[in-house]
Formats: sequence, structure tokens, C-alpha cells
Amino acid sequence: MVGVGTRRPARPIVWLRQEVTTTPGRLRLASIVLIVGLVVFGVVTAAATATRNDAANAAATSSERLLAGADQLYASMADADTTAAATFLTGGTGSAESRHHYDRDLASATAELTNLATKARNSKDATAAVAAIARQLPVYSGLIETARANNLQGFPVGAAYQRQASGVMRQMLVEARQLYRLEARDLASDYSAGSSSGELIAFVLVAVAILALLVYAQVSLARRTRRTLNPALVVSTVLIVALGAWALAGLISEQDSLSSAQRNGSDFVQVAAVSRILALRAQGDESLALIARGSGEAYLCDFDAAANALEPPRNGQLTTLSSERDACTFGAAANALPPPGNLLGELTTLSAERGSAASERKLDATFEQYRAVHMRIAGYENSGDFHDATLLAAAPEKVLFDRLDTGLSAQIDAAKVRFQRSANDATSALDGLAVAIPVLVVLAALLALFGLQQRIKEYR
Amino acid sequence: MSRRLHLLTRLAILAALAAALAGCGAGSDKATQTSLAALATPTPGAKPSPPPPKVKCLYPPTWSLRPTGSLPAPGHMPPGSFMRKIQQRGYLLAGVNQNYKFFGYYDTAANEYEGLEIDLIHQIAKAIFGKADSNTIHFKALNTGQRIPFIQHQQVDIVADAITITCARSKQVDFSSVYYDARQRVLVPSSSGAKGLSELARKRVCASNPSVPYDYIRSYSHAIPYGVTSATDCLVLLQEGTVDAISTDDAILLGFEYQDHDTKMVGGSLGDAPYGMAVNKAYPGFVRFVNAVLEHMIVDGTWKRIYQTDIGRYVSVPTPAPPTPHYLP
Repeated sequence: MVGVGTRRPARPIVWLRQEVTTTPGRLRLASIVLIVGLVVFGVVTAAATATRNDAANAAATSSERLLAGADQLYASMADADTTAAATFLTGGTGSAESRHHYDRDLASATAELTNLATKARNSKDATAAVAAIARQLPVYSGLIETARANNLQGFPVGAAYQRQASGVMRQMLVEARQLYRLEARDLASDYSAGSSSGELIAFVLVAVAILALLVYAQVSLARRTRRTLNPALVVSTVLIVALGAWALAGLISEQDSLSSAQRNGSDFVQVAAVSRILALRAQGDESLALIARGSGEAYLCDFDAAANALEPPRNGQLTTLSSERDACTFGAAANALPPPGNLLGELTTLSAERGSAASERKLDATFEQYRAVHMRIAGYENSGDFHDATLLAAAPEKVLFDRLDTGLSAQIDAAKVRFQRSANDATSALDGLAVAIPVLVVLAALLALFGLQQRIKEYR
Repeated sequence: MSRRLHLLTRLAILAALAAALAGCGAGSDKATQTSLAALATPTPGAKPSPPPPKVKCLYPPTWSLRPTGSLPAPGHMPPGSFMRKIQQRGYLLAGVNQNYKFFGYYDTAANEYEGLEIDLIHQIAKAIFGKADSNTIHFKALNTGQRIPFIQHQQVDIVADAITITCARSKQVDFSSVYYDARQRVLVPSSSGAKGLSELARKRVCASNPSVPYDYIRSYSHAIPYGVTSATDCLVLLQEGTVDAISTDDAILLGFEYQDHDTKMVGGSLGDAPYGMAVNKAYPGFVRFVNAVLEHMIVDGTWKRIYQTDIGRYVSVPTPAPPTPHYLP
């Protein structure tokens, strides 16, 4: 100290030195430290619960609804095209009923698109995808109408318009898939935010520190003043313990509900929704191949690719055409189908974890039958028998596909209900804390201040 | 000192506990990963077609195999012949077009194929089976790029689909004698002032690719070739205004003109396009058989009658004379 020379210590240091040497000074210092500690505790707890609550809310509402909307949009558009194609196949202009079906599909696609447009506002990529679909939808329906007009006059150029329309639709479906992908990614990031351990660890550390501080203050106060415990400080400690327990329980329960929402709800929705998209893709390929009347090799290969992603092919189901054909070129790996996935098996596993997987096994069986019928259709196509191929596609295959589609959408709907329930639990787990934290922390701080103030007064 | 360390250790343990607590509730994104990977299942792309090989032919490629003797009686194809195999199978598998009005197209209202090429196939089936109906003929609709490979891979017995006989193609498949002499011409909107391909410099001219007309536009004009998989797509693109003209065989353009009265054919012939039916090189006997059927049709007036029913009554151009068959020595 002396070595520092003639320079006098700064005023706060002098004050601090004085304070530390006297008991009332120490008490004043203790109250400052306690207040600061309590405020830090309050801020950290409030931030942790608020962040988690926001993420849970985001996961529960916007993302999930968007996710559901994107798969529904895909389904409506794919169904519209399959209906238009089937109408074309069975005589050009089609019945009033199929026309109605097509109109309904387009109307619901438009409604879903509008819905998605308002919800996708804050994502640039999603907005771009929605805009691309919105731009192409009228082009598509225009082409379909031109195809109809030409078909009515018996002009074969109608078929070319139909093909053109399907080409536009395929681009739109790519955008819809992109939209779905974006929403799925958003949901995944909401989940990881809603269950990130950073907040929980920060909260626990701060809570332990403030409790240690409170206990330490009381114990040393009791020792120094040779008194029993200070009632105000005890109440303040109890308040903090209670608040900490409440917040901890809330955070854990929120995390638990959210992960249950994911496991039993949205995981299921995602696997089932993509299964449905792939099934629709296969069904669309089937009708496009039929329209091509022999030149639809690329569609048949795409059918194989989509079907294989749903379930690995059984013996002899790899399929339709041997994959050495030029039309079956998948990316860099020339003439090879992409490696098979097993999405339907995944669905069965997910429900087996929850108990029963009976309805999933039924879906599995339906898909297998569907594929068997497809094999027969492809056989007819191979021998140029499009009459029988069309008949088989119109009755047994369509029925099986509808069963598959209905089954999958029922699964999706049920999983959405489960999701909503758990997600609501997750958001309500932290209810009340937003108000309780400031109130209780301020109360605890006032009590601590009051308790210490009483002791300080004794020294006057 | 040791007390403080103790406290720090305790804090560390607590932190670890909290982390474990946090970890046990967190889910995995396996479902998202798996489903997104499945969603990304690629779509097959078309392989780019190799450029036509440079080859030389000793004889004109339109010269075909001479028929031998008289036709066998329908239903009694000679044993060991390809026709016998077709007869035993029960149906003739023919590759045709489903888009070319007048030549080969699928009538969606009547649910059957119509056109000159369809009637040719009918005649061949009649010569094999004695009758031609949906039982004895199975049609496959092919797009331009599939016509030759489908014969090479024996996915069809015969193709009658506006194939221009060329030297290069005659190395890949066998051709029948010529059944129609088409010529490459140009179709433009009625409002267009262009009088031929030479006046369409830097304009987009549509043709199916790969095809002889496409190569012609690319090699011998200043127009920008616009390739599609099927020539009918050209009419769609012309009506939409994406292309300024179409250049292909007059046989096809005749049908386009009929379907869209706001178009007109302009300019003279840009080249001969003799049409022949394609057969796998393994079956020269079948080629001779088909040529015999064709020669019969030309001699007894069936060719003229078919032309009249399928094309002549719809168009104002005079009925051409049937092509004269030429055979290899």
C-alpha cells in the first residue's frame, strides 16, 4: 500500500474499506449483494421461462398448423391432377362428378394456399414457394381447360395440353414439397429451442447461488448478533425456494410435454404426411404412365422410387421395368434406383412404441396389395394392353389407394389431436410464472431488506 | 480454501445434474430427418441422347428386303418364323404415335387409335391372323426418342410412327419399304409474315428432339432450334406463343393445321422424309413379309383407299401417288 506512493485511494475504495470493517457497514453491503442477487435470479428465471414458453407456443401453433397446411396443399393439388388425368383417360371430357371432384380439389388448394400465404409471411423462402405456386395454379387450370376444349373436338393436341398441365403441376408439387420441408425444419428448431438445456442450467445455477447467499447471510447474521434466525429473511428464503421449485417444475413439465408432443404427435404427423405425399406421387405416376400409353417409362421408374421410399421392395417387386433403361436415370448413379427407405415401417415402429400398431399394419398390408395391383398394371402396359391396365387402375387400384390415403389422413388427424393436447400442456406448464416471478422476487427482496434493516438500526 | 473448493465441486455437480435433467426430456429429430430424406426421393431424369453416328450406306437406305414368293395364308404362318411367334402369342405388338392427327392418334371419345399408320398395322395383323381388332393388335404409344430403342430392346414387334428412314437408323433397325413420302416443311401462325425457314433467323423454331428436322434446323438455318419430346408439344408452344414456328414433316403439320385454323404451312420442301416401319434386325423374314403386305396394298388400291379415309377427305391437298417400293439387289 505504501509503495503506491502519495496517491490517495479512490473514494469508493475508501468507502468500501470503511464499510467492511464495521458491522453495520457489512450489513449494508450484505443487503446490496442480496438485492442484486435476487434481481439477477428474477431476471434469469423470467428469461428462461419466457424463452421456453415462446418456443412451446411457436411449436404448438404456427409451425404445426403450417406443417399441416403444406401437406394438405400437396394432397389437394396432387389429387386434382390425378383426377384430371383419370378424367382424360376415361373418355376425354369426363362426368359431372369427376369435374366436381377436380373443382373441389382446386378450390381447397386455393384456400390452403391463401392460408399458408398469411402464415409464411416471416419466412422468405416459404413466401417464394407460395408465390411460385400461386403464379402457376391459374396457368395449370388454364391448360387443363384448353385440354378439355381440344378433347371435346377430338383433337389429339388435347393430350399434349394435358401433358403440359401435368408438367406444370409437377413443378408446383416440387414447390409444395419445398414448403413442407421448410415448415418441418422450423418445427424442429422450435422443438430444440423449447427443450434447450441452456436455460434450465442457468436457472438452476442462479437459484442455487441465491439460496446459498440467503442461507449464508442468515447463518452469519445469527452468529454475529447471537440471535435466533431473522424471521423476515426466513420468509424471504422460503419465498425464493417456493418460486424456484415452481419454476423448476414448470420448466421440466414443459419440456416433458413438448417432447411428448413430438414423440406421440408431430413425429407421427411428419412420417405419416410424407408417406401420404409419396403415395400420392406414386398414384400420380401411375395415371401419367397410363396416359402415356407406353411411353411412360420415366413415370414407372418414379413410381418405383416413391414406392421404395415407403417400403423396401419384396422379391420381384422391383418392378415394372428393369432399371437398365435410359428413362430410369437417377442423378449421378446412372440407371440405379435410389436406395429404398422404409417410411411405413417407421410409422409402425412409432405406434408400437405407443402401444398398438394394428391400424399401421393394416396400412402396410393395403400398400402391399396396392403394389401388387400396380405390378399387374405394369405387366399389362408392358404387353400394350392399356384397356385392361386402365380397368385395373380404375377399380381395384383406386380403391386400394383411397383406403391407403384415407388411412394415412386419419392417422395424421389423430396424431394432430395428440400433438395439440401435449402442446397445450407444454404452454400451460409455465402459466402464472410471468406474473409470479416479479411479484415474489420483489416481495423477497423487500423482506430481506427489512430483515437486515432491523439489524442495522440496532447499531444507531 | 478447501471449503471453497468444496463449494465449487458441489456447484459443478449441481450443474451436471441440471444438464442431465434437461437432457432426459429433450427429444430427437430422427423422425424429421427420416421423413425429409424420404421426401427428397429423386425423380428420374432423361439421359442425353448421343449425337447420330457418322455412317455410310452402300445402297440408299430406303431400299428394303425383297418379298419372297406369295404371302402365307392368314393363321398359317410358316413354322420357325417371327410371324409364327406373333401368331402363337395371339397379338401383334405395335409401337405407334398417339398424337398425330391423320397418321397415328388416340381418339379419346372412341377409345381407339386412328390414322394411316394404324390402318397399315391393321393390314399386317390381318395378314397374320385373318382379322384385325383389339385382340389381335396391342398398341403402345411411343414418343420420338423411344421409337428406335423399343425395337432394339424388342419391347414391340414393329413401329409405324413417322420414322424417317436414314442411313444411320438403318444401321440400328431394319426398315420396311417406304409407305409414305413426307417432306420437311414449316408451320407458322397465320399472322406471321415469314415465308420459310430462311426468314426465321433468330426466331425459335420447334421440333421434336432427337429428330431429322431438329438436326436440319440446327445445321442449315439461322433459327434457334427448340426441342421437345413429342412434336405435338410444338403446337401447344406455338399456340402459347413460346415458339415462332414449327418445322417438321408435312404429314404431321397437316394434322396441326387441321387442329388450329390460325396456322399455315409456308415455304417449300426442306428435305425428303421417307417413312418406313421399323423391325428388329434379327427378323429379316418379318421385314420381307411386311413389304409383301405393303406391295399388295399399293397394287390393289388399298393404300389409296386408306389415304382417302384417313387424310384425303379432311384436307384440300391432292391425294399423292403411293410410293414406289425399291428393293435391295
